[in-house]
Amino acid sequence: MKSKIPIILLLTCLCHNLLAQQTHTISGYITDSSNGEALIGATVFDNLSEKGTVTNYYGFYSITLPENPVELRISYIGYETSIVALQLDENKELNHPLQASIGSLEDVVISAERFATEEEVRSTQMGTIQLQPKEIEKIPAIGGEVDLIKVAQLMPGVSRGGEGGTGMYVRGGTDDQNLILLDEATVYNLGHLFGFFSVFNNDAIRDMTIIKGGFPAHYGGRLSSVMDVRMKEGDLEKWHGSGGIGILSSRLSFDGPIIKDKLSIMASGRRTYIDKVLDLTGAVLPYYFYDLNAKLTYKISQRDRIFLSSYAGDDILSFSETVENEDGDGVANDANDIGDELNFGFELGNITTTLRWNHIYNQDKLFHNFTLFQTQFEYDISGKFIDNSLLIKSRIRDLGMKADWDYFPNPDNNIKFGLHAVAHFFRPNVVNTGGEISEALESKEGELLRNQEISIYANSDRKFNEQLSVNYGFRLSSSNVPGAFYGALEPRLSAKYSFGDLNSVKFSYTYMKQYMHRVSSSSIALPTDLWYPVTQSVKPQNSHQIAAGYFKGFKEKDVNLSVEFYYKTMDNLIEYREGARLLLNDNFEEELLNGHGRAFGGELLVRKKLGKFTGWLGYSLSKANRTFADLNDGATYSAKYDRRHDVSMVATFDINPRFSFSSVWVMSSGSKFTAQNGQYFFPNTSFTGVDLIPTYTRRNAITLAPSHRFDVNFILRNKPHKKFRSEWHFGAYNFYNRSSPYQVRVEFDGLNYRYIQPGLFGFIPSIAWNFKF
Amino acid sequence: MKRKYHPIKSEILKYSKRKPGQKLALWLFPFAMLTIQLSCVPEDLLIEVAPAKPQMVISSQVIPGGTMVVFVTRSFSALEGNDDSLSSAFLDKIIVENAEASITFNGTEELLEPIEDVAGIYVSDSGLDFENSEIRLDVFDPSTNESIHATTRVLPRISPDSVAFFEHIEDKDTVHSIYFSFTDPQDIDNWYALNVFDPESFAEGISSNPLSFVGEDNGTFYEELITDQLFEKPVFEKTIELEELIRSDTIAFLFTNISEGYFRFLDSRQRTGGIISSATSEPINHPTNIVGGLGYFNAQNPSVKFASKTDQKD
Repeated sequence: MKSKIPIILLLTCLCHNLLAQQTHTISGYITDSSNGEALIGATVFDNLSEKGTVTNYYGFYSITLPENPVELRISYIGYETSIVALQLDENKELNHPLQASIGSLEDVVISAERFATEEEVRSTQMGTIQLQPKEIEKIPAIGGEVDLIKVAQLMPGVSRGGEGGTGMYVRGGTDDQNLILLDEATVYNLGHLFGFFSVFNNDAIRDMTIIKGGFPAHYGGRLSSVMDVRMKEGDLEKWHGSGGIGILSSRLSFDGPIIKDKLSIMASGRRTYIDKVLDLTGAVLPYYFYDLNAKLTYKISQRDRIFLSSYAGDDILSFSETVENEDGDGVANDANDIGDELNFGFELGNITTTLRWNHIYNQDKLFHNFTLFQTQFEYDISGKFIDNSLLIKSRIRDLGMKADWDYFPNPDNNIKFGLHAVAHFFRPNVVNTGGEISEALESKEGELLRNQEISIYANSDRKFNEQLSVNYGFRLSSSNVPGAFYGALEPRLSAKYSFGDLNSVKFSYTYMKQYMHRVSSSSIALPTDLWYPVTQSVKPQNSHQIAAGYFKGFKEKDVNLSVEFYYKTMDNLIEYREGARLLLNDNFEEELLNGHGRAFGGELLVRKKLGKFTGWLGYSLSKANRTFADLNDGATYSAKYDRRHDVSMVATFDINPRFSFSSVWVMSSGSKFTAQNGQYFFPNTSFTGVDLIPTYTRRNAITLAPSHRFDVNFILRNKPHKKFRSEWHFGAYNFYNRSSPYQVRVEFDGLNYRYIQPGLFGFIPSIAWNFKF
Repeated sequence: MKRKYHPIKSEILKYSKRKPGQKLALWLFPFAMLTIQLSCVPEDLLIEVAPAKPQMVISSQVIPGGTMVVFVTRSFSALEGNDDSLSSAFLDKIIVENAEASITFNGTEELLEPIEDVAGIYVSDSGLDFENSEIRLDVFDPSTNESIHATTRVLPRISPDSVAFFEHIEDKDTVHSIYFSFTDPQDIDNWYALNVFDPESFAEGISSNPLSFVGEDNGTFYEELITDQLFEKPVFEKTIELEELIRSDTIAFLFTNISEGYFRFLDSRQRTGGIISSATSEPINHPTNIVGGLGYFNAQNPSVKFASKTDQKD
């Protein structure tokens, strides 16, 4: 019976089309007039029939209406609304550029934009946040480095990990339960500099959507969140450039037509140069990171487009020093006394490549996206001293394809279906040693682990009447690993019921399956955490999540309010067993334990996107715990980042077109920690010596002090009418220098030992200059 | 005509010859320095962590020949210091003197006697045969009215078949190695602990304050835990190449057939021992079989073999 459910659902979706009346279809792309970028989620609404639709991830829309005059209202947040009137007597193609609302301070534009913000209340989607670079570039950031991930962490339900890190713990989940997509390819490592900066260069990003619950069926493979990041496309009409110089890094981007209206390119690069700056003082910091993004867009015809995009980023540490000869005078006493060369290096990077083909079928109701992608995450640690050499590598590589169709049978129904297939190749802990060290540490290739995931999905976003809309579907996922085959039917449902003036209640249920894990330490953050596939004994993670919420739009104030509650259970979570060895250990399965997780909470978001004053207030009240039979004596304990309260206030004030001020205040309950609380002596097995053995509190029994900080940013721009636009950013992170604790340790203060909670970042000023032409 | 040196012109010339990256770095240098100067490290916050309740800690060893040695100390707060800073007065304080310790086996109870001048160590009369019997330890500390107990089953003693200690020259370096073999009983699962040490250190260890060895190089050359689940043949043999040079002419090879519980205890200690492991491994409270206390009551009877240094035969 179970296996028939997807077929019935699919037939239900498709049969609806047979009931359609004599109609015609209007379809096309909605783009930004300034650069030709596709606008995702733009609204196309017929004022006369009061039917509407929104653009998909490629800016494409299709709306089928009865043969009548139509008056299309095309709107998108931050853009001026257009009204297009036409007689619909045949299928029509309407590609429409929208103009960014430069004069967004004017009342007339604000009222026109309101329609777009209302969509958040009217859509079935919940637990979803959309962020655009334009919006976040004003928000203060460490060292002035604008960071999508750090802004995402300011949203309710997204708990940050350690201070300044890019770790995200969504609705009580773990960091490996976030599906991070960059142009459809999975990004496995989100952070540079041990996670303090994200790999996303804001100049290369078009937008980002974060989904925390109510996942549509076309997303799968992770339990807790989806972060769908899209790179900018090159303008097919004219050339643009942008860049910036900050204390830590510089950026340069350009895009434009190679063949006008046919082929465009976008390229963007970023590199830190603190190594070069310190070099001037004689200090050595042989570390830098870089990111390169590039995208080619080829418009074959009105119905076909091809995109080739790629991202490459690396963290590189390369240290080399000559260790002094015996007497330290730098002069060799004999042939054997010339000093020894010491080299140490660390390299950690992602590469993603995506080739996509968009096609619109003849009826203009069916849109097809076919994707081929590959992604690779790898780290190398290398060292050389005298005749000894060491190289430790770990790698994960994916090769995959996605075939997705969007079918728009009528304005009240949008059907998506598709097939996703990906082959994962994992090779954790490759060790190459040379010299004497190889006697202690043997070279090993590391076992090559494979996992093939295949999924099909279908879902329909259907409007039953003005009040009720339901998005329902399924995902049939599977994973094939040597010796085991896993499969699951993942039902997805979200529903919206509207009432009154811009009020709605929403409900969602999702079942998610995850066929890989990341094994990481509970106490320390290592950049070398390992991804590991499911195996015969390591089972897939799964979760059930139900959520319900109330959404309200305040038309006159341009404010949206949402209150959401969720309850989530997670099974087959993994943790290291107590005392597990984390370094150079590829016998993971012996070290891993399976357990259960539970999370629940409420989230409040009040967000104002329009006007001189914009920003949001977010608050989460949540609880997340874990139960592992072999940890903490089987008793339930708090998850590490179980922060009870989390408040964030983000405010941006455009004082005038040339001057803006923004600030962030965040406060969150402390994370959990397992601290040493005692010690004892114990002799070794032959009673020839005694060791001091620590004892610890119950797992995660200590709650660190609440953390809070205030960040500010001032922006000063040149005159708006100039073609070359530039702006200065003067900012400060952690303005009042408050410690955000990340651990507990014992320290001697000169008189006594005491427990302290150190923090990482105090007050950090920043200055940056950005330009655009 | 000789050109006159002009410092500003010279600097401009130098600047113009720099690569673009260097020029940018030069411009950014003052800003970077200013940022570093103005940045602050936040003050650490204090936190109260409830100290673990002090408990009696038991360690024990059966000396070949059948003498049970039990060492009784007390656990203490993490705020008392570490092995570098603990005073000898404090070490004396955590040793449990005047305890009433007894062992019960085969229906017989025997009081353990404290060793004169060595606080905290209690021993049985020599020559007892514990093998294959269940043995219970009871310790009562009259100073705190605290008592603990533990029970273990004594496993048959298994001796190594052979032990040899070699010295040879390899690439002009002196290398020390130890060969050993033993026969594993096939009908049951077994766990073994072996320990190679300097016999003189052992003698020192039991003739002075045991805690005076804290954190010191204690004469142990090699330790290994072996489980028979990892090999199939009844005879296990191995050659160990030692990392350090051994000055003694003789080594002691201590080999013990241990219980699974004691194996788990030693294994968890071994995993988390050492600077790197203790910093990177998961926090662990080591397993214990002491009811009401910490440590491990081990009553397994080891066999010891001494091997003298010989040249390795090819």
